[in-house]
Amino acid sequence: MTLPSQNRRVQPAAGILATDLGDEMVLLDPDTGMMFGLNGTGRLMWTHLERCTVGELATRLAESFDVEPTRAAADVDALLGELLARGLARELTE
Amino acid sequence: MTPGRPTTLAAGRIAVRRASRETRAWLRWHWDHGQNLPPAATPSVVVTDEGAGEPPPSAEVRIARGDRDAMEWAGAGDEWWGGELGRSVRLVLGGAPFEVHACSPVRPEGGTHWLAVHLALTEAMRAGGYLPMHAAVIERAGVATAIVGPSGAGKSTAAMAAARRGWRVVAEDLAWVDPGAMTVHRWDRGIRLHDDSYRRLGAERGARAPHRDEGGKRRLPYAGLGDAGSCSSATLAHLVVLGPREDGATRREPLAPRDRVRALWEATGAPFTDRGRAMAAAGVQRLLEELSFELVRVGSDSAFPAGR
Repeated sequence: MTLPSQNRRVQPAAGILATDLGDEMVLLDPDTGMMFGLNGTGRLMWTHLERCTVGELATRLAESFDVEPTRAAADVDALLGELLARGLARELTE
Repeated sequence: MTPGRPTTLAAGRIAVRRASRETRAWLRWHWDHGQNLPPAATPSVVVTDEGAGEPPPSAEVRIARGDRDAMEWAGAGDEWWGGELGRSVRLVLGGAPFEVHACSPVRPEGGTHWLAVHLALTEAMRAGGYLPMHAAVIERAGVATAIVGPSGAGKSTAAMAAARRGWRVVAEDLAWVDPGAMTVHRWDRGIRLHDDSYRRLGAERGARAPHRDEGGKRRLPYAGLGDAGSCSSATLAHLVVLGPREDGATRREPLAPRDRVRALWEATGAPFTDRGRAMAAAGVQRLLEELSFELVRVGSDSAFPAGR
């Protein structure tokens, strides 16, 4: 998988219901009934998804969890890939 | 209601202006349960029969789900169109009060028009901070328990059993929840019963002239329940999810956090606008923090709800 462009934007998919349990963010797709849990790093990313580019998400992740920028970028890439594959998020096109 | 004159519904939350006679008649039957909600000083929703216009070509399409049917809405941001031909009803959530523009239906029976009016008003109420809840709600000493589960799980049966065991029935199927005040309010007109249950309970209560709903059940008005039907609002403190019935003794189990989330969203329904979703999410969050949750598998002893 290639690393995403830093300026790429991914948004929550319309209709996804997000509920914050404190240590976990639970995403529910009402169309399919599928639930998906995000841990601490996923929760942070989801919270900032609407306002940040992929590069900004990686920076936030690196700062909040004190990890190397390249590792943070890879984590962001992996999670966004999973969210997109499950239909929980959509990529914005220019 | 007289056509042309402003009227309020839902205890002053919905003002009806310039609506046709048939729109007013429909609203009166389906939405005039205002006595069960705390009074509102000013309406948060206005219904008019102004032309709904058309959604822009770039409109996004979303699905809204009612009790039995789903409907496409087209729009963006705070402005959405739905109903007959996809545009007989327009919902505007961008200002105050919110607006529902509902012309008269093209087809005499209304087609999807009335469903759209219902979904628009429900979404506007959501955006105003109220959560619709599909639940049987029972009350004792001012404290209410909402009983949720899929259709056929036994909510109505539980409500009937509760009425016999000293509880009062706030709602058999549908209620509004105010998460800010943690209160629950009746939004249906009586307990719906199959014929055999109606004959037994209705005869006990001396009920007459039952109304049949679309599913063939008979409705026993709350007034026919005597004291068991006399409570229409209460403080909501507990939520019970009904699991599949089992042989043996009734079992109670804690409900896992994710199952609590699912139960609340399934009971309160999925909003289709961003504003409705944001308000509903805040409401669900509050309910998660404030309610106690339990999974109940009713056994052959039918020991739920417990008597006094």
